[in-house]
Amino acid sequence: MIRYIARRTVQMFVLFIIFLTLTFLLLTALPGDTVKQRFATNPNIPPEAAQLAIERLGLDKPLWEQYSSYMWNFFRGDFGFSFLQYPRPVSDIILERLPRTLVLFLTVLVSYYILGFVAGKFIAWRRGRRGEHAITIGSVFLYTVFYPWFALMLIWFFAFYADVVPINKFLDPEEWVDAPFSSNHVFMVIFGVMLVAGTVALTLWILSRRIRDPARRKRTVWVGYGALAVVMLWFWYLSDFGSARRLYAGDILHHMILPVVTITLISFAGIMLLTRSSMLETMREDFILTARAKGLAEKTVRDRHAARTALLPVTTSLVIAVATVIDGGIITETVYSWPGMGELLFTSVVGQDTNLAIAAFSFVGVMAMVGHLVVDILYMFLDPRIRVTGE
Amino acid sequence: MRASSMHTSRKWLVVAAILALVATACGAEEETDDAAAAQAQAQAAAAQAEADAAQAEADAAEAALTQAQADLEAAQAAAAEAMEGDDAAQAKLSAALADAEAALADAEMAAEEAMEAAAAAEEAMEAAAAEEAAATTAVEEEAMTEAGPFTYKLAIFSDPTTDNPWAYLDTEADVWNQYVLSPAIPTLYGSTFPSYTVVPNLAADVEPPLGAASGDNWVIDVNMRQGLVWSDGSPITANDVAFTFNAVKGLQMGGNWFSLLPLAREDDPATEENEGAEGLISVEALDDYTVRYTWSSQPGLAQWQFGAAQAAVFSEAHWGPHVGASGDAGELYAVSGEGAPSGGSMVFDRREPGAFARSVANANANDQGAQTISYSSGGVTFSGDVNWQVGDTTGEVIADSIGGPHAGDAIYSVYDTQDAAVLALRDGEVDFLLNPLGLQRGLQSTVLEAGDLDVIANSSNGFRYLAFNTRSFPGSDVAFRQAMACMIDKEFMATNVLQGVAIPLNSMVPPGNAFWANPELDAWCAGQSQEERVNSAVQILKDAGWTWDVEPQWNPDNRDVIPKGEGLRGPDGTLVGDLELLAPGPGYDPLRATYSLFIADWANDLGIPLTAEPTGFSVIVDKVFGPVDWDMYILGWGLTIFPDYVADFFDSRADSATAGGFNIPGYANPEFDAMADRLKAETDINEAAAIVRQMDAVLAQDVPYVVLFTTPVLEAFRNTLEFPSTTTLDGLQNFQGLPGAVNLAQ
Repeated sequence: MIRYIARRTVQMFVLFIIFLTLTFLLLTALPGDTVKQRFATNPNIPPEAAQLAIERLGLDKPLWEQYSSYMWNFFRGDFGFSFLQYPRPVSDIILERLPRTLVLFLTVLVSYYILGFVAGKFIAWRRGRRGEHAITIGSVFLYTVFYPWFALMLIWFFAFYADVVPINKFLDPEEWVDAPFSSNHVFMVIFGVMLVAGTVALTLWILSRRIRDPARRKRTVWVGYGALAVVMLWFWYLSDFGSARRLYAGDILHHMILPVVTITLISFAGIMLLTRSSMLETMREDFILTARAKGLAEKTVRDRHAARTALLPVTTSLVIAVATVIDGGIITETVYSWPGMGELLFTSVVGQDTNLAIAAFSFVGVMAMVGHLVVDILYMFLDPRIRVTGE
Repeated sequence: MRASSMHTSRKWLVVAAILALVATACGAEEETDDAAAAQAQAQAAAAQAEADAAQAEADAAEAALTQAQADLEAAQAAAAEAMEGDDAAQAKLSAALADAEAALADAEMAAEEAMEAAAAAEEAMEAAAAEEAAATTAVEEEAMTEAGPFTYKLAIFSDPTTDNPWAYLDTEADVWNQYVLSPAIPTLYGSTFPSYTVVPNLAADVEPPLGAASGDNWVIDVNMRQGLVWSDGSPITANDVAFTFNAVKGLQMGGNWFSLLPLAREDDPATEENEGAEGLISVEALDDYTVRYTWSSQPGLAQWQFGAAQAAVFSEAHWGPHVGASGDAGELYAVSGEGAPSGGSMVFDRREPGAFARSVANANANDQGAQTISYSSGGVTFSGDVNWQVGDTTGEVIADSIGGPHAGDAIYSVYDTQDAAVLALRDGEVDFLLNPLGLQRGLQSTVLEAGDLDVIANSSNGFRYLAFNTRSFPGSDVAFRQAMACMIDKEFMATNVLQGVAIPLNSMVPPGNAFWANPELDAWCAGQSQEERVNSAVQILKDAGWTWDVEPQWNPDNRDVIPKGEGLRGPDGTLVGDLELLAPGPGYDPLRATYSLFIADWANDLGIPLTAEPTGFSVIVDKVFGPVDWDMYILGWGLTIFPDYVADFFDSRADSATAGGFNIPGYANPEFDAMADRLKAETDINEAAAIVRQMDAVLAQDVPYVVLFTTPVLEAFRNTLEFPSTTTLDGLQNFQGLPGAVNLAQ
């Protein structure tokens, strides 16, 4: 196993070098450059000023020199400075955008995976009935709807007409003008809380699997979740640290509602159909027949036998999705004025901010590669039919 | 089954309880602003109830006392009667008397206690009333704060990329940074709203002094006003002006600084031909309120009145420590400008990247309460700590403003789409949409559906144009360019095709910039029908010696050119080959994309094999600023008030291919170059305007550009706001939405 992981890591490193090189070449091959875009059409700024900016940004050097210098610095952890936000370090900008994207898209991911899995399980079990048709048609309709239009309609209805959620942005400026914290700090706190709560809940769930008595297991889980909820309430309402940030975190969460609902509605159909087909395949297996023959309740057969087995492809799909979540979504972030990694990728490419674009892409690339490695390893654990051979 | 159902119900109960807890806690947080007042009111009400109860007890005790006294009297009367009866009755009487006296004592005590309770309750009531009054006053004061120094909420459409004002004038020269940062930056002179007249700000001299020769150099001494202060209360002095210059020079700042402080740079290519570097040599403080500008030679309007005299000034006390000895501008640009001393109406307060920026009113703003009146004739009068008058003040008053700031703060919220921003405007989240491109026309009706919103339209100071590559055939032939210009029916395009969205233009200076514009310029073949245009264009080409294999003819029956021209040849017999017209695609700018298709069609009528190529903006810029393998393109310019750009765009010494300048067509005309030199050296604004008009006329004849159209800038805002005027070239956005002058409508 260790040799396998080591070999894959070396492969990933080589792949990453190729990825970085291609990204660099593609971005520098774009017509024009960031200085031309910004200065060439501004008659207030004479050509000498443009030349000075080109020299300052190092764009006057030969391409190979720019490339070698970039690669050398990159692997020393220096991603350079942004051309569009000179002299701000690229790492600074990515650290500013990353928490926003992680908080929004991890929430979205969990939300639509749960909804998709539950709905998929439900319609597979009720195959051929009206419920299946209604849910399938409805979800596929949402899946295929023109996303920006749908998002704008939801904004119009829920934010403007019904006035129950805010119109865009990730915070209310009037609430934040005197805030003692930056939004980035609060995002980090939310992300930390999400991470801790998620880990605890998951650990609790995994540990509870060891309890054989179903009633006791269920009780244990719910007591654990209740305790977790109490700890969360204590953190946000009674602890000095949490209560000082509660209003600001609440404001951010309030602004998250509409984007989360929109993407969940649009995306859950994919997971639902994946679960459905996996469930249908599983339900044809002999062990399901055996379970039924043993006289187990239908719910138990569905949830504990069929659904758990059908979860395998959904889990691997989730791991890949988690790995790629940091690229956010350009459309979502633009429509909802939620400037995260997706918008950053877009603006850096369009603005030809090469340093920023490469660094942002490299994050996505590394996460995607690590995600694939994790999936491969997970498969070995989850699916007994897969084993590493030839070692 | 039942157990399961009960279990589920229990789960839901737990969830509901948690939700209820959260909701209760959330509810408790709401309305925090009024909580104190509400609490005080509740206390007052409780005290009132207590007082009422105590008063009732006191009344009851008094009644009991009266009753006891009456009983005692009755008992005494009965005693007197009984005195005459037997002993038993007398003893009974004595007991009754004792009881009555005890009751009286009790009643007196109860009455005393009740009176004390009533007094205490009254005191409590008074205290509660005082507390309520205080709380109400606080709320009222807060409400007054909201109604007086209100929050001016603006929507912007891109995140400011810096909060450092030095960087904004260099590498971060973009309009969003300008909107947020420039209201804090003072200058010696500035352009006044709405007429763009140059007026004094920090300077005491009403007009920029012209200076005098001093040895080989030219020296201009400017007197500064005394008593002007930064937002931190420290005085604004000549040392700050000199410090700013030295920082720009020492750190080799670029971008807008090149125009604002045109330094004599030793690496200036122009200096190779001259003995010394041309430009601004030094700026020094002669005393606290006199600053000396030393130039290599007498500066023209662009360098002085519209350049260095309007350059930013920064506080030496604040920024001095950041201008390090490393000589790296990047170090200075990395310093946050939040809370930096402001010499303007607003102080930049905070930037929350991706969400909002905020400026607060400068409590020490200079000239608060001063009156500025602008006249249609361009003149301006100012009445405040000092009084002055600039220009002709005989016209109508177009703006009358009292020095602010009136708003307590300005919040710039970032929206990525106009659709969302318009909803936010209608919903009251923002008051003004601040965008250099203005409001999308399609959203105008949506805005106007709301009764409390207004939309204004102003001419933009810019144009979109067709450029010819005059370095190579056929663009090098003036007759070819004139014939093309003749075929382009701008009125038809504006009225019939673009449905009034575009305003036809004929000159390099838009008519909105009235002082500099040349109103006498007409479009080629103006007022002609399509038939007449075809005939005129053919005649222009024929007169210049051009020929066709098949000459184009206007067919009146078909109302079209039949046959179209074929085999067009130049005067020397060179066949016109396939030509390409680069224009932005419909996704970027539908107006220019549409125009390009019509231009190609009209050219084809003449026998010019021109094809419109929708192309990405960056690709066009890269291609036309680089090698010269292009034929024609359509792009646009945003312009400045002082139109020295006319020289920059067409001076043969600024050829983009050879000198990296802005003369992209490669236009070369010695007569024009001479006029450009005169314009750059001119120090009299009226003379300069005459030169610009002449240059414009030459360009209209030679047609290196066909200026096509401009578009109005539409701006939407809440009509509870009041601006000194809503009519100005390029709209209110060009004055950053006037955060220092906006007020609530009376």
